Amino acid sequence: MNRPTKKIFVLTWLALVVMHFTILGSAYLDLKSFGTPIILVLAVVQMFLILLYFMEVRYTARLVWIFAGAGFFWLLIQWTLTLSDYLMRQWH
Amino acid sequence: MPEQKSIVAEQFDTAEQQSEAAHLGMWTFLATEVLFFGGLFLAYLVYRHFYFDAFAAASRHTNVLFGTINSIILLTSSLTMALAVFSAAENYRRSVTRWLSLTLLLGAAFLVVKGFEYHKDIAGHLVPGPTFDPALPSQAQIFFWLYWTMTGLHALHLLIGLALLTVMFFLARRGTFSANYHTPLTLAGLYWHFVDVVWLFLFPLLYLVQRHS
Repeated sequence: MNRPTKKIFVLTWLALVVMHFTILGSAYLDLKSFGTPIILVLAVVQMFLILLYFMEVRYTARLVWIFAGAGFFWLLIQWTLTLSDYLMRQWH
Repeated sequence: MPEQKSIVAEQFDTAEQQSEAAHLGMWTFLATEVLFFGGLFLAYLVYRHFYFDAFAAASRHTNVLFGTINSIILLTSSLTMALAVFSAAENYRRSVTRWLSLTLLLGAAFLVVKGFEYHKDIAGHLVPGPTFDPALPSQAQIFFWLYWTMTGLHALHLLIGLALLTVMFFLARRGTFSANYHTPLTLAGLYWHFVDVVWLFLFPLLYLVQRHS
């Protein structure tokens, strides 16, 4: 089976650390309404790097992809339904 | 093939099939963990939406230095964990114990730093309740309730991870893992990386709300 090399692991770690300091730095800049989205997008990219390389999802069977994705799909349902209630309460 | 038979349970045809079933089981468990922490992140999101100014003021009272140190520690521990699994898959048996002990050390270091941080938070009156810092808006207590719950549960997960990796360390030292069989180590690694992923979101959401003002 195809597997990641040591070099890929080290590069992934390096990318994660660089992105961490980018997140930290951007938090101290006044980016108006873009600040939080930029930080969260970077955190999501970090998550994908860990999922794909450290957790080796990229190198596993497609069935594992479905199982790994299922948790996030249910999370989406949980968030969408709850937020569609809270964010539409006009009385607040 | 008597050696092969000893590691394959009778309900499976091959070691590969057994390993795949174990992986699917672990990912199912991790899906429940995603929903577990997902509920807390959702609560955070709702209250942050309603009381943004209080959340921003509260977040500025968290300790970014401790948070950053812990982020680097955890990201590095994920690297050493991945290298431990890699070493097992390549049959570098002595490297497995070396990388595992480094991962254990980094995990323990995370908890020590967190302990110092908690100590400072308590001294700074950041525990919700009658002794809570009166200078902060009252809704900041909701932020700190979430802060203590989320980081506390994360630390508990890390502690469980440390226990799991300690078992893996002794198994590795006994020479249990090889290129043909290292499923328990891989699954423990998946759990460890998951704990790291949770922290990736805890850090910016708890420590970095409107830091620029």
